[in-house]
Amino acid sequence: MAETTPGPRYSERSIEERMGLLDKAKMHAKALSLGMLRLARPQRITLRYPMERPVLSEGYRGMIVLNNDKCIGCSLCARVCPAAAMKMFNAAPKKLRPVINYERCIFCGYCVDICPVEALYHVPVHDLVFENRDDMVFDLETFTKEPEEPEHVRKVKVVIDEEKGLRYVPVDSE
Amino acid sequence: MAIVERLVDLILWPPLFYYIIFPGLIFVMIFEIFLIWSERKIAGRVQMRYGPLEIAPRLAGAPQLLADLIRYALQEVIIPRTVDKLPFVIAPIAAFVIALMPLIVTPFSPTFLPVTTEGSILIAAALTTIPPLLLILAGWASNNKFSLVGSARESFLIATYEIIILLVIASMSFLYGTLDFLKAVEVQQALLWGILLNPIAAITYFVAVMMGTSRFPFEIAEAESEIVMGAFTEYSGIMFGLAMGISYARMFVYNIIFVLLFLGGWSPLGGIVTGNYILDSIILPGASVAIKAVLISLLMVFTRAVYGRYRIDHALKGGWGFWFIMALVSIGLSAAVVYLMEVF
Amino acid sequence: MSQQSQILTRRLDKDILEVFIGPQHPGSGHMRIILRVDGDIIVEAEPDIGFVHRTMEKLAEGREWVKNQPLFERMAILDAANCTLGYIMAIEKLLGIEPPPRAKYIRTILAELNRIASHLYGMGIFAILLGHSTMYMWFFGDREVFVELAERLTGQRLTHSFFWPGGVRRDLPSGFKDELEKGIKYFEKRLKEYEVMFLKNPVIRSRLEGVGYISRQKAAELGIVGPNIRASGIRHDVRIEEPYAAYPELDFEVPIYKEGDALARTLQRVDELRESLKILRQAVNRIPEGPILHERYLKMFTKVLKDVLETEKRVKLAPALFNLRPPKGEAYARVEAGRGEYFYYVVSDGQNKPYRVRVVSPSFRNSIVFKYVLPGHRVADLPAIYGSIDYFPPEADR
Repeated sequence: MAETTPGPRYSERSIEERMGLLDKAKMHAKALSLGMLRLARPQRITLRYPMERPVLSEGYRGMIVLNNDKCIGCSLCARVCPAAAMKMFNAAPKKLRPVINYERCIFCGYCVDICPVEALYHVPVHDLVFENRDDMVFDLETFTKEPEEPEHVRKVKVVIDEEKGLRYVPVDSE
Repeated sequence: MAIVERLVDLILWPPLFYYIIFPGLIFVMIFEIFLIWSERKIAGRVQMRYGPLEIAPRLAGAPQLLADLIRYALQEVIIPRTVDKLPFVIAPIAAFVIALMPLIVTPFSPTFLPVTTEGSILIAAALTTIPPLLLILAGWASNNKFSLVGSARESFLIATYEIIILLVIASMSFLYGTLDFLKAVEVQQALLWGILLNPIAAITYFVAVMMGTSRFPFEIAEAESEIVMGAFTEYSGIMFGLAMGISYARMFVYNIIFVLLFLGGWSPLGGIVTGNYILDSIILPGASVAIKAVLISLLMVFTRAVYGRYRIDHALKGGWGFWFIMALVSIGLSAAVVYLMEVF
Repeated sequence: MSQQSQILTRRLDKDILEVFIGPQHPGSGHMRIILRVDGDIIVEAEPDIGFVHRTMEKLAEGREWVKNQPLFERMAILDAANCTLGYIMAIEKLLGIEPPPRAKYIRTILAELNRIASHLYGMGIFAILLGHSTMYMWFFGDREVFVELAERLTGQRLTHSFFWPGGVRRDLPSGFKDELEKGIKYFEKRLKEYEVMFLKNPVIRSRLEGVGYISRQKAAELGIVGPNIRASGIRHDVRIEEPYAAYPELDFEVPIYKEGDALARTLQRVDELRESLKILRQAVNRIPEGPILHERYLKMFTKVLKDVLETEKRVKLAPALFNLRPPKGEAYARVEAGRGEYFYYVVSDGQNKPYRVRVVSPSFRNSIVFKYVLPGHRVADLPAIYGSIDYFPPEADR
């Protein structure tokens, strides 16, 4: 590499002197005026979540959906699952298929990554609501269906911003 | 119709109106709800969030406090087996009532006051010193270590801020040459507002009141991360709501006194004459006093967004080492102002 | 008073009050500190840890090698990348492989993102312990920027599970560099505001100055690690002592403070934040092109796996990685996480599961501070000391 790199090193630093009375008064004034500034011009990053939903990033490890046609029933996904959330069962004679228990799933995405035929994939949904715990154990039918996004919510895109940190841009306005 | 007239008469009957409606219980409750709501909104704005919003977003979440109040009111009041029941129950109630007592001598207009006395400043100042003693009682009766520590801290603080407040009030009554709020306001109207006559006294009073009503950075007696809720750790339900309200009620009373002593009382609106007795003698002057008090209170709750809390020894050191001296200086300043007034 | 209203009491020394801080206390976290106080002064402190012990080391013995990664990141979920990196590095040592340079840089980027998030989390808790609710919200709000960046890189906000032995799971997403630069610029601006609001705020200053002093000698005796020992003037940072990932190629400073009090520890962390920004900026600019997984495993990729790697830049888990059987032996790895040094000692008996995994986490080593530093302070100093050593109970209890 052309540029010189001094590399990592330690640097001794020390705290400046204790504050005198005048410094204290100055810092009080500074802190109060910064507070006043933020009061006048708030910089909110609250996402009003159930009403507004962020568009999750590409490759978000959300809920997992099975493509039943691709699946070859190799059981690797069930074996790799660190939380034992995925189990194989006989969908038909000699036809093993995985099902998932979202009570246990930790969304590590190992099953998606180990699948040799790309039969499993993530969808950018992570917040389904279940009415009871039995519903959290998906059968083959629900597992092969992509979960539906709730209606009547504003979708916003999360943008990292130099001024505000995070900015939420409504999707339809783009 | 006779019944309606009777009812209106009853409501406007001065003792009832004064104690129950304005500036008594109902007005103080409204004030507290508004102040707690605005405290949360102010903190929310500074802290990159909204504050209360979910209940009625169009009203900026204002009914949230009503909802909280209803919840407190309906929640079970648990009285632990180990507490000393009588003082445990009496302490917050008595503290709240006594916290509002100084209002009997604070005038809201030259004519709108229930008790006319020469020593109204003295009585008000004396009454403001009682509620903290009941907080100590509450902590003692709770029989809980955290409550005890909270009470101990409160008792340390009382000695500091009460003396400062009393000295400052003394300096102002020395300046005005009276112990009567009415005359003090008259002097200010004739001369200048107290805050301009003696700014040191005003600042000292402001800080001492923050210390006394446990505003940040002096929220020491109920420091949550240290002693849970101070003297009120064992309280629940409506008793806890009441206990929380005490400091706001005290702040309101202190700020009424602040307005009367430093901000010219009913100065800007009180002089307007419209001919209507109620408007002239209650609403306009009362509104100007109350609005000023609310503004000062908002300034006090704003500090929550800027400061952490001091340690008790820092507060005591600051109180005795700096603000106590400032209080003495303010007496000197008052003497100087009185001397100057004599000369010119 | 009736008989019923008496409570059971235990004799203590005269004038000594025993106060239990935690586990159900707003300022304690998942632990208990038993304080004996004389008036307002702590005379004895007993840290009582273990409330969130999850037998992680034993659990790890029953799982395949890569399956332990999601387990170990639950020690310090806000510092997930740093606390699993050591485990992966230990496996790599057993296997005798080195990740390719690009993978090393991506690891560094994620590790630093996590360090910033972890420091901000710790300081947020610290601020609320001191009663400063605004800084609590600010620290947590700004942490969101880095959590968001980590999400874009790894696909998950906190539990990244991002490393494979010999590489990483994903390549940098497109546009990551610009987003990171924006985040860094924003955060640099915010650091100035932190200074006014928190670091130089007279109230906070007076709470921290001279509180919780740990001398150089004491710090070495107690064996504390991380920013805490560096604030006591001891030069110890694994990134320098035993370089890993891309750190030796980057230019940064590790701040050392001599004062050893709570203020020094706080300033040390803030300075580290600045250095982390520097590291991030360099790493994302200097990142070399190349594979992100060791070639030994790339060779075993089937066509589907190769397609996914090329189109989605996602490294699939080759069955060979899942069925790892590292040769018999033992290895250790050290990593400088947000709270200090993680030490992993791994023993393999040639099976597909580890024979033994020993984890020494920084919070565990720092927890001893409570016993030796608290006595002599006021009760009100407990939050200041607790927050300034950035103690995280789940990490200590494992």
